[in-house]
Amino acid sequence: MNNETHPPDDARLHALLHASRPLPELPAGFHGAVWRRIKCSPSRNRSASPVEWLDIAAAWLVRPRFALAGIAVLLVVGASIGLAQGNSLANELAKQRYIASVGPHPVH
Amino acid sequence: MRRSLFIILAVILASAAIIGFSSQITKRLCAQHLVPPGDDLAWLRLEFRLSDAELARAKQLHDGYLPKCRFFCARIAECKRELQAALDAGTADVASIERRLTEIGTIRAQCQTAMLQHFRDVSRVMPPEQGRRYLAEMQRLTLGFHDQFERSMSGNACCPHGNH
Repeated sequence: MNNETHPPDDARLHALLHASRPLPELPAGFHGAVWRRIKCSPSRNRSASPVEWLDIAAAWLVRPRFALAGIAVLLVVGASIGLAQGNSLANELAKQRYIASVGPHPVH
Repeated sequence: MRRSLFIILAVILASAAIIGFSSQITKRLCAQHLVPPGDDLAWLRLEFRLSDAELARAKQLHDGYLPKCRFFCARIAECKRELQAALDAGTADVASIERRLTEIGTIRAQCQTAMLQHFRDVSRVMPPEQGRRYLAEMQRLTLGFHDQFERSMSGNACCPHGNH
């Protein structure tokens, strides 16, 4: 194992390292362009636009798990509405049937 | 964007269809369950919450009343047929038409009287409050039509017989 250490300001070592890994020349205005792009790039914290919300919602809705859960909830809601309306429908049907039975033409 | 919009719209339409379909099916099933076919007195049971004994008594009255009702209805229908035939043949004079109309009116009055008597009998089978409610509803249905008809003919809602 090589235990030889070099002082950090070893000029020869720096020159050797630089020569072994040459850095390409940056194009003119590179730094300015980088800062401009950073300025213009969308922030991570900004709120999504309506279009993005639409895409997110659509992506959620087409997931099989959510689709099945949604169908189940809708069926329960529909059945509850049907039950509530069924009582009044039954009452109305029963009333009509009774009136028809006591006189096919009660008022002639 | 267009695909997402299409998905959302399709989901909204499908949701409405599922709710509509399931509510209609449940409503029909519920109504069929509560009002079995052939049960003419289901309304008394549902609306007036009659006990089994009260319902049995109401059924007895109902069965006893039906032949009377059929008898009156058959007589009215027969009189109307005869009147129509006489009018079609052109042989009826005013006196015979009046006589037949009077006869029809008399039978109708007898029919309505029997009907009201039956409703009173049934109302007495029920608890007092329910009986009053039943009688009011049946009187409204049997007599209310004539009131409405006469008002519309007179053109004066406050005085049913003002123009007579």
